[in-house]
Amino acid sequence: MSKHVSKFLLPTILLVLTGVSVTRIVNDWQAFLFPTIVLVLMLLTCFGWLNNSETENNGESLRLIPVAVILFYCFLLPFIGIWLATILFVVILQVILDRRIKGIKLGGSIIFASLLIILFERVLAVTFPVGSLWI
Amino acid sequence: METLISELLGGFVLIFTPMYLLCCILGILLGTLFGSIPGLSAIMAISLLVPFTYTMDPIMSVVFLISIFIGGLYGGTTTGILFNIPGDSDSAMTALEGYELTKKGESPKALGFAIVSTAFGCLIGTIGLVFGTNLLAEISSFFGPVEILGLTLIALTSMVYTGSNTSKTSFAILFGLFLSTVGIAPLTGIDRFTFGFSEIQNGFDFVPVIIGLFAMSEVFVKVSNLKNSENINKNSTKIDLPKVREHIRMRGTYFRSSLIGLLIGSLPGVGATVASVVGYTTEKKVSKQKDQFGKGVYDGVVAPQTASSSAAVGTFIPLLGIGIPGGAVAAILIGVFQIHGLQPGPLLFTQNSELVYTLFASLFLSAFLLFVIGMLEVKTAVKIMRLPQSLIWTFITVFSIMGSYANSHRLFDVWVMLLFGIIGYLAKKYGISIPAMVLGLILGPILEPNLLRALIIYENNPFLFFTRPVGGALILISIFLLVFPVIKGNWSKRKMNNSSAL
Repeated sequence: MSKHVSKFLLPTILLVLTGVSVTRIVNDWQAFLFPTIVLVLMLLTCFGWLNNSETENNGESLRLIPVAVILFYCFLLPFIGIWLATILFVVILQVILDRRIKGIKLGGSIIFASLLIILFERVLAVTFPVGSLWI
Repeated sequence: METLISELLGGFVLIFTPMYLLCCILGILLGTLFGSIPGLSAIMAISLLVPFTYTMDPIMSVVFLISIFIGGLYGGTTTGILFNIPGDSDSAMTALEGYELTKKGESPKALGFAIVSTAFGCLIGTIGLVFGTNLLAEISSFFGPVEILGLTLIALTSMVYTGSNTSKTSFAILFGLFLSTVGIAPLTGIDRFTFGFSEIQNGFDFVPVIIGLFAMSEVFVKVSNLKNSENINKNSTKIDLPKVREHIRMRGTYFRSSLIGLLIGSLPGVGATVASVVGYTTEKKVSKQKDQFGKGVYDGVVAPQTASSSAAVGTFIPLLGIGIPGGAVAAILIGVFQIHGLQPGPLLFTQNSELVYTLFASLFLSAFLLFVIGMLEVKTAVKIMRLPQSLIWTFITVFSIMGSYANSHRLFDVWVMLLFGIIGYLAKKYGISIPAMVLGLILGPILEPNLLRALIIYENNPFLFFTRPVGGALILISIFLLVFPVIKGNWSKRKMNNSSAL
């Protein structure tokens, strides 16, 4: 499924970008010459690679999609903040990596992650954005 | 020569001050540990720890990151020899023969040979680096835009054939080059492909990009279960250093492989993996025990390991001499130099000679320290490999998110890191080379302005580039590098067809 999406999606994106670049090259060739050359070559190599590609089975599972959606959503919400979003991701990771989840292990990971965040805060003087639950 | 020795001595004086020494030891320790854990690598350690160098002075940060790199050269080998799980592609050839020796119960001696080979390769690589960079820096001061354009093209075209699939590697390089065009255009100052995001007007920040590509992508791989956890057998974790006479018996292998590695490493874009393959195959051809290769032979451990270590250090020759990175780590170091306001290349020798010679001194010291730390590290690495996976990946996740945020205290950088994590994940899924992508990203800002400058000088006629003898020759070499393997492939295919028709 993902292979078929990539077979259309990637050339389409590249075609759109090449179109944008080519239309602007007329007004300012110095700024858009290099990107146009690169995009056209990308398009050619992309066709070459997709034509020769065989069906690959990497034992992929689709759970990355919900995880990625949750992750991006958490980092987009200002009231959740970077600290809680990081901890949430750590919890998701723990659930995925240790099939038989144990409360003590989960707690251990949360404490470990929090300690690492504090380390960053102290060593690199990281300050978190106003409005996050960290503050 | 006298100036070189006195400057080098100055570098040694600085490197032996407690803080620098501590950075060197810590770097090697981290490099060997990261290198030895499957899924992690020294390049990932460098990416994750770049944010910690913001508060360090430029010399200390470069020494720290280079020590991690040197540590990683050996780290990947230990698990390769013991469990047939090479930490990175550079140590895959060493693992091939090393694991056969482990199966025979000879892992302690194989590890001993591996550590001596790594240290020896680094040493020869560093000697080559000291003389090679000075020479290259002197020559490159006469280089104009056409010559730099030619050299950059050579770096890119030599990278094309390093991957398993030429189209995919070319795509990765071009994708990196395209990413480098995002932001304000050089010479004209026009916005390109920013789509209204003011945060990327100066291009993508380097740190979130490399953290996403090298570290976060691996977290996503774990999440989507592309790789199953490898079983760790209970093999011996002892190291048995071979006797001096055994090393002397193999002196030819040591010197031959380190010179092969140095030559390959000093070519921009080729790197240590190719060197390890060439080192192994050359040794197989010249060895008296040809038939023993593949069944477990010490020469098969020494040759690729010495070649890859020497090549890995050799990749710094074009970086320091002309400012063009020879590999992915050298490309990351360019980014680190730029974070600290330094520009690698011939000017570095006149403006920041202290940094250059301390870097040389740190490489000499690292070769020695690697020998000592590597002896103690194997047991620790195996213990870490047996730690719960979630603990290791929690560490990587938090470092990735916080490291990219710490760069400029913007959540936008975390999104960029996550986006590049997904890109890195897709690249791994489809077998696209991430180092090639990073090389394109780093070389883009060198290639584009020099192409435009050359066009302006030669009245927009690229054929006039060939009036510059050196520059023209370099461009022709890059074309040759790109076209020759295709012609050779077609020729051998035609030859095969003819012979089958007969």
